[in-house]
Amino acid sequence: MFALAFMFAGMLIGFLLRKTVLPALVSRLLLPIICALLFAMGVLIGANPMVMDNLHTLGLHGLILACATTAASALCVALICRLFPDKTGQGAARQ
Amino acid sequence: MKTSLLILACFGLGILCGRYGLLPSGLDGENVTLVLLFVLMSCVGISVGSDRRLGEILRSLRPKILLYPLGTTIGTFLAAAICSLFLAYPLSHCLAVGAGFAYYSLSSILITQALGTELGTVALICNLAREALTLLLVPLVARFAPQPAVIAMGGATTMDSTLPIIARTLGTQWVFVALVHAIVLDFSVPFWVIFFCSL
Repeated sequence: MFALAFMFAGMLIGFLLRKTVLPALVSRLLLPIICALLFAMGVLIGANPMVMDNLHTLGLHGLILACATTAASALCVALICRLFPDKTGQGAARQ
Repeated sequence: MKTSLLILACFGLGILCGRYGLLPSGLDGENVTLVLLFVLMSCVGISVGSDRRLGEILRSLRPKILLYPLGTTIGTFLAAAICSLFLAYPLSHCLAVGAGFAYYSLSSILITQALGTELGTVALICNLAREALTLLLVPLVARFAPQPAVIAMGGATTMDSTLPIIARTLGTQWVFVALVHAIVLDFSVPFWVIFFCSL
């Protein structure tokens, strides 16, 4: 939840500085920071012996559950989009 | 696809570095992840705040977006129930693990306390994997699935760790849908996990 405070602060800064070069600079930075975050997450997992030592058994179960729940969530919401099509045809937010 | 591969490569490299201790001690803590997450959230905020269509996007939000977290919940529980038929865990345990909605820190702690370390580890791996799967697959799935379905993949993480990739892939106009989706799920995680652990 604390992360939300940073986002709202960013929104305020972005709104105040929307006519400067900052927004263009930030949109270029997004992907490198995402890669760095994933790298850091990988380091945490790799350095956790409990997770690494049990990857073959517990990990497989976790992975099956993760794949199934992720896919089913997407399918269920896709079905909702199909059942309740938006009048603009583009979901709840306009493109 | 290029983005997914790049992200996967960074993730794999991170696991190798963590496993074999290739990083200096100051760089391998949880603090680094947290600082990066805060930087990322600020960047997403700046992108949203500077969007000229901000007012129009906010006005276009409809109550319908509350159906998306509902769909994510139903889909997750259905999948967890089906998995319990094949895995060696009872239905309530699978539902408790699924009810983390990728919110691994809270759900794995709650499950470890209530049902033991074994299921707690499964919950940690499952919810970590869901977050990683979302980060890796969003650019790919967005090509053929409707945007709300892409958001549904991330569960409760679509307001923090997976928000940047969603904003980058779907556009900043979907950030508020992702936020509402995650906030609703985020508040429901402790309720569902504790409920299923008590069954």
